[in-house]
Amino acid sequence: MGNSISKALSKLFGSREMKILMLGLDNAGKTTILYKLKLNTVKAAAPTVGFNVETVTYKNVKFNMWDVGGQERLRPLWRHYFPATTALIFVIDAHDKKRLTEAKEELYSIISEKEMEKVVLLVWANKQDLKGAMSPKEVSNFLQLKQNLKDQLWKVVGSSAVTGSGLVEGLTWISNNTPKK
Amino acid sequence: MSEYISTSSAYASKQLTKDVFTSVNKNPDNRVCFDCGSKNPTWTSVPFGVLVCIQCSGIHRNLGVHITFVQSTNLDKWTIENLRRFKFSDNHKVREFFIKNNGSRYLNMDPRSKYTSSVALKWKKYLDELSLQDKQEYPDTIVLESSSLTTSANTTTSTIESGGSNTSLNDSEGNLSPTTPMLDATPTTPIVDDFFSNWQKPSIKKEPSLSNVLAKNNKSDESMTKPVSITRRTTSSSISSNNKGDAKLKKHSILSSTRKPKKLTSKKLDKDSATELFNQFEEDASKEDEINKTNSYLNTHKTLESLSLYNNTEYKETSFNEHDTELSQGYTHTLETTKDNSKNNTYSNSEKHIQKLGFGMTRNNIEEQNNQSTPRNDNYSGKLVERYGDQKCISSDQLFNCNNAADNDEFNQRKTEFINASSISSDMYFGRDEKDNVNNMNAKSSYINYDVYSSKLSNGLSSIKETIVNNGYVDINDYINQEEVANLKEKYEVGKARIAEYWNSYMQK
Repeated sequence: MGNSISKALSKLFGSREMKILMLGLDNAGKTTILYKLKLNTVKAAAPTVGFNVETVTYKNVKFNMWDVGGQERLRPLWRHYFPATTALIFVIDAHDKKRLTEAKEELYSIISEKEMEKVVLLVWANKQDLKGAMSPKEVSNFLQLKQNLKDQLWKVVGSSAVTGSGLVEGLTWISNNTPKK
Repeated sequence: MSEYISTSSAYASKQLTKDVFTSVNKNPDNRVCFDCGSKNPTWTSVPFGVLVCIQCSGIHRNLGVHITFVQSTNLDKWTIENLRRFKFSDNHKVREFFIKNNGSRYLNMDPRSKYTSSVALKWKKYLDELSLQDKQEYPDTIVLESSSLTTSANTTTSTIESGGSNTSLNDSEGNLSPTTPMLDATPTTPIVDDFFSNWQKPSIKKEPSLSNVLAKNNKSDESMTKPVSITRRTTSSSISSNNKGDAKLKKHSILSSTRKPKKLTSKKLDKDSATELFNQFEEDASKEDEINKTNSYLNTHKTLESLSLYNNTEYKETSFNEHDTELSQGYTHTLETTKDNSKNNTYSNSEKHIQKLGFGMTRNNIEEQNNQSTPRNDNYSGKLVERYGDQKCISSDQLFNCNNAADNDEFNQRKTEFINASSISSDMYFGRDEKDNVNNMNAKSSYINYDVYSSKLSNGLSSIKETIVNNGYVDINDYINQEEVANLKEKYEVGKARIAEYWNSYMQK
């Protein structure tokens, strides 16, 4: 009885919780984004070996953000983080044009997994603060998500972990586009 | 951006990556972070080809990929192009490059200025060229010359610039502790001595004289190794502690700070390659033996002649004949010993030849070492101690008796003048005119002689200089003349501007 009431209340006022998986090539800025959201500071992040998890609460939504290391040999481990993921954030270094192809390949290999078929995909075109970084539009054209992702929600948002721009925007989009239970 | 970031090129196999980095890791210099010195770095800055720890790799990442980007030696998949850079580059080589190109000050700077300095860019470019050349030679794979010991012999001829690998030899460069500051990392240590000591068991006890050593050498065919052990003894005692199987020696080496790295190397060097090397050196040495035998005799004769000349002429003119004979006795004594050692010279020369092996080792170094080591031979007569032992200080003049009698007389005479004086000035000592001084004092107090002075000294800066020389100081009141002040000011401004200009140009460099 009490259980159901609290459930009802939490539906009305309480916070939603969702697991968000943040992936991307090494040095894309995943850890920096995570700690920018969590602590609002930019710290010099050493390469992540393993993963970082932080809970970021934003507008009554608890984002359990999983940030997994992006090194080549760590990428096969990504799929172990897939289960129960509501949204996938793929972080791309928009300034590192040489590795865009690599990023694209990795992205497609992730979303082709069966467990990731239903997730919401947010692509952060990171490092927009740098001169010469590709715009979100360019990135989205390059990734050709329009052609390839027919039945999946996706969005490319420009972001900068250093200035914090685009981060909240992305999270808002995620919370707006995920089912509210 | 240069081509090393490109992903189009093929990936190197896991084994190849491993091979490259094991060969890189052979050098103890590469087992510490290039930036902070922490141990066993597994991350690399690819553009610069240095190994850094994970913390410093974070700093590198923050610099931006246009300056440097990091890859893990074990967590990343390496493209052949990126991996190729580590065929030619490692911490040791980069550090050397920095030092050689006058960029050693950048080594301890903050990472941003360090990696954007002109030297760093130069190295980057140079490394690009090297790997490009290598790419043309081996387009699809990396041929590791450094991994095989056969090339360690090549290092005798190959220069540093050609990227000649020195890893196998520098293994034994144990004098570098992991925390040594970067500047100390220059390989001035007797590398090759260590190398030999790894497999050649030297005798522990000190031979009383070199002739003993020579005799021993003649008995054994290993004419090469013994001289090496001699220098080892003279350069640092700790090195002799480096022995494979000798428990006593290991006990002894507790005192030495260099024990640990050498332990590592003794495992790595196998005997076959070592003997191969050894044979080569032996050949070279025997060649030089012949040349030097003739040369060294000639040399000693010449020096003997010149010395006796010196004794006969110059020394007799001076007043300290007694002292001279003593000295010359001492010298001839040393000469005798050197004559005795003339054979031994050949060994020290052959040893020079070996030491060419060392990475970054120059002839100068070796000669210095030799110079240091020769006086330690038993050519010390003890006469000097007899003479000067009870004195607190001794000057070179005294020792070599350079001050001639006339000077001495003058000095003594002057000295007597000041026996009772409570103070002494340079003017007084050199007998300069003190009247000027007195006059000046008057002028300063009452300006009586103002006109005289102003006319006398109105010739600008040169006259000021004069007074400075004469009086030891300048009274600015004497130069109230506005023109001169303005003149001075102007010159000062010009000078200032020039210095600023020079400084700016220097900083921009």
